[in-house]
Amino acid sequence: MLNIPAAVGLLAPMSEGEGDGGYAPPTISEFFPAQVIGEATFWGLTRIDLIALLMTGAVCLFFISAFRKPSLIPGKLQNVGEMALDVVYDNVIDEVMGVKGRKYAPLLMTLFWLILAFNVTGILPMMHIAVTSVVGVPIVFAIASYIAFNYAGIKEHGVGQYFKLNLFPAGVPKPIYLLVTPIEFISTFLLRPVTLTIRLLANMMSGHLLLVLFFGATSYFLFESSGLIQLVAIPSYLMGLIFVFFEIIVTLLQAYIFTLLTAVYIDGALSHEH
Amino acid sequence: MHPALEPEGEHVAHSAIGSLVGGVLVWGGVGILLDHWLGTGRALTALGVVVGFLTGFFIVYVRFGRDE
Repeated sequence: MLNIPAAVGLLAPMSEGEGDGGYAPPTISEFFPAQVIGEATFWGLTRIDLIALLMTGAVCLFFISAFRKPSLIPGKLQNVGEMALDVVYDNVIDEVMGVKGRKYAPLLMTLFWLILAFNVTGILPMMHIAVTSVVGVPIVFAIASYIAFNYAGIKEHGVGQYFKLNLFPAGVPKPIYLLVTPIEFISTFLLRPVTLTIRLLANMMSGHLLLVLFFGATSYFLFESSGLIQLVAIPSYLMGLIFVFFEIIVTLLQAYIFTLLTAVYIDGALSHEH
Repeated sequence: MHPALEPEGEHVAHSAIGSLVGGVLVWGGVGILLDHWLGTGRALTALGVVVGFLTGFFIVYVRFGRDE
């Protein structure tokens, strides 16, 4: 039942556009792979779904085994686990929210490490696609972030006061609210989740397309062309390699930015002066 | 130790961008709709973009610029 070549992505870039022998650049269909388990059922899983499950399991397993029996003098694994948490504490939570942000640590830790794990699959051998480059994944993270900052704000101020702080900034002449309030509504309650989703999605999609483009071109020049043109495979391969390193940075940066913005939004929702 | 840092800078930048972009989108969008409806060419779109941009600036000033 499990289609193994499809599951490890062997068919992915080469399967379409062939036949005329020309170079087939990657298309958006990269992000809509066929189901490899339970084809044509409602629970059918694509290879990206399998990677998502695998990475979720890996992150859970790591943190559970690191903190299963926590001790005052940490063992090796607990030490690494604590370092993993400190990355988020030091760079996001304390930096943006101060001590009051520690309450939101579980959410922010989960966001950072899960997004990072889902991004990094874009450059891991055998996987070669970021789970976050499928739109449903960043949407779920953005919804979690959206619920979190609105919940934080409503809990802190109460529903009426929270919306009043956000939609009717103090010190504005009443008629001007007609102009101001729609803008504040759109920018706070609609643009935020949309930009969170698009920023992560577009970064991971374009990264994947760039890598497929360069390595696909390398393979084409090397194996399907002849003469001097074969040499073009060298710069093409080098560009691919450069973009792999670039993707490592993007992977980290996007996980960081998503978590940071969530912290900023929560902090803004808690703040008393808007 | 983790000091309770004052987080204002980060916060201001993101909110400000949201309001500036939101202003142009909202009132520019209203301008486009009105232009379609009234058949006034591009006039109301232009007006909407300007009004939205200025209002966005005004929001940033009101929220963050006053007491400094």
